[in-house]
Amino acid sequence: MITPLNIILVFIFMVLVPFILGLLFERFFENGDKIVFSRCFAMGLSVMLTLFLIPAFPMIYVGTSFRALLYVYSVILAVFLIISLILNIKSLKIKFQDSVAAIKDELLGIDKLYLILLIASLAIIAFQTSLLIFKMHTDTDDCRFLAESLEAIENNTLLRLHVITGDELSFPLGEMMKEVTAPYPLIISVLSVYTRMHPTVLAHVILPALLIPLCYATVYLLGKTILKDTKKTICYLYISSIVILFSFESIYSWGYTLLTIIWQGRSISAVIMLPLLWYIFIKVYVEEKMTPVLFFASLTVGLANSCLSGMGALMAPITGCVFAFANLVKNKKLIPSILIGISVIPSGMFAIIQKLLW
Amino acid sequence: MGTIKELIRYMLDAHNAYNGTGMMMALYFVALMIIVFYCKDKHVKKAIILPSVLLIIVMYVGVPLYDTLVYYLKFYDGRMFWMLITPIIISIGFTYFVMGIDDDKLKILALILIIPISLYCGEFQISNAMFKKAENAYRLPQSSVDITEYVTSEMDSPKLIVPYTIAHPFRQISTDVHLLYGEDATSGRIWGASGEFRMLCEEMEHVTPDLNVIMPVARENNVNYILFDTVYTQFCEDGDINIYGYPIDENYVGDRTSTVGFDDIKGVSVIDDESGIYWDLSYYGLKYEKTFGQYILYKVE
Repeated sequence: MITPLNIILVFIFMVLVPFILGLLFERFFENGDKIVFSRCFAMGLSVMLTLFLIPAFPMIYVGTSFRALLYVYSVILAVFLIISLILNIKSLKIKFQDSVAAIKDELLGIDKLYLILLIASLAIIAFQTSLLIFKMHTDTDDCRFLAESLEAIENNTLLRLHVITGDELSFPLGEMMKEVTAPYPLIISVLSVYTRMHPTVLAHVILPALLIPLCYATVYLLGKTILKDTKKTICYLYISSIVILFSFESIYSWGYTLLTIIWQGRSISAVIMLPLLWYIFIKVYVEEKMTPVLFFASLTVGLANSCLSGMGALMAPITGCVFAFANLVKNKKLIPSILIGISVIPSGMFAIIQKLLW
Repeated sequence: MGTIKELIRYMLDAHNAYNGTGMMMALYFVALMIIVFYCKDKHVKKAIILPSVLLIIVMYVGVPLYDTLVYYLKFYDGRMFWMLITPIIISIGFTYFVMGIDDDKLKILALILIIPISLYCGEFQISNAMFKKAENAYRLPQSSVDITEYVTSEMDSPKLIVPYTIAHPFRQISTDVHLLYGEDATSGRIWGASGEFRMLCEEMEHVTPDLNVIMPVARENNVNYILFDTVYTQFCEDGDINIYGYPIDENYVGDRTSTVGFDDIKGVSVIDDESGIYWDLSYYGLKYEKTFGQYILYKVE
């Protein structure tokens, strides 16, 4: 059911496209001469989600067809991809080579103990990723999320069919209303069309293969920013992979969220977008300045959270306000705090709209 | 006074919903303590301590207080604890502890000890029960895939009554399949199903489902197929669950095809031929179609 063509299309639309979109931000971070791959992919995913949310919300609300949304989103995506390519194409090869060389140098410079730790961490992460790729974990919530994805493709509708009975609806019903403001299941439909795969196969097999490593890449990015030192960060990566492996203390815990239902929007929000938000806010808070790239990154990740889930839409502004307050108390700087607050307002608005709708 | 009581209860409920035994959260607080008292790196202290403390206050006081006072727009969900990024803070705290050890042998020992500590404080749920053997590319039970393919090849937009326990996969495979009820019939998810459908859902779970109850509803709602599960499960009573929300006692599982007394039911006889064991339900207007693993499919005539 998964053909080589599917794999090629997955690589193009779910690896290459986020990477190119991530470059839009990457060139403005720090001095912009190197690519931080984890940040590039995570920001690229955020851009994809944000660009989807903007047309999807009004189009779902008025009830256009799925094809219309697909075409509008494809055009927007193409425009941003072209802009990113125009801006980055000249320097991309050199930046890419420099970044790979920097990673090599970093790895060559570490002791044997840390190299073993790194290999152990990667082995644990590979084991965790393989669980969902090769095994099966069923979750009852998929009867809503994935039915919505499939209905969009098979019936060309946007949340206008009851996910269980298939009855026609004039407006999304009950819990389905959550997807009006958090239309993540519909981006799965779009990706399914792009990759020519069944949404359920895409969600249950392909997404874990990409998102579990991306989660650890984001965890690593945040750790590296806080710890600064490579040895410490490798040690931290090893410990985090162990802690997450055993973090099944409840159905809300990180381990459960990452290792059993990572294809669901709220999971991506929790284990990828929230650490990414922490990364952005820590950069503002610790470095005591809010640069334009950090402002737009915060805005984008906040909106990506809204696209993923109502809970994500709520957590982004709360986390933002906490960091804004911390910045005000510790750094005594008003402007960066206000800017953090402003950057999470759109996400907060989506959270309130969802609460009012649902 | 009542509000304060409610607030404390709310805080405890919020905590318990996320934390299970609370040991992982204890580990989180230990990690924070390590960063506060043991870590000498000012950069790390600055990055972690104040934001974490503020988020703890928000989670344990702010959100419960808001939800206790504002009834009409509640925000609390156990998932909000995600904001604390507990595994990351635990890892940073323990990284500092480990990296503070000068002796390499002791450092390796500490790195190994992280495993039993995490296991003791958390839960190891990775098992064949949680991650079953993959039966197809959908990563859904093969019987549900086979049933979906069969009914959709027989007619357009078939409508089914199925046992709740297998209701979830069908519309993940094809939305051409229409169900009378599913997740909406028990926990009231999506949009609570009507009382009639809830009763029907309950009836389908009985050891001997009453067709005098099922058939009128099926005919009234133009149902094309009814799927029976030969295996019945008697779920343990409410309340008999452990702190993680899992049942303490195992659910009792039985085989309907071997249930003594089926032949006593008016119009029902057990057939055992080359197709396997099934019931003759023609008295009720149900034609045996096919057996899919433990499930028997009947067509409403």
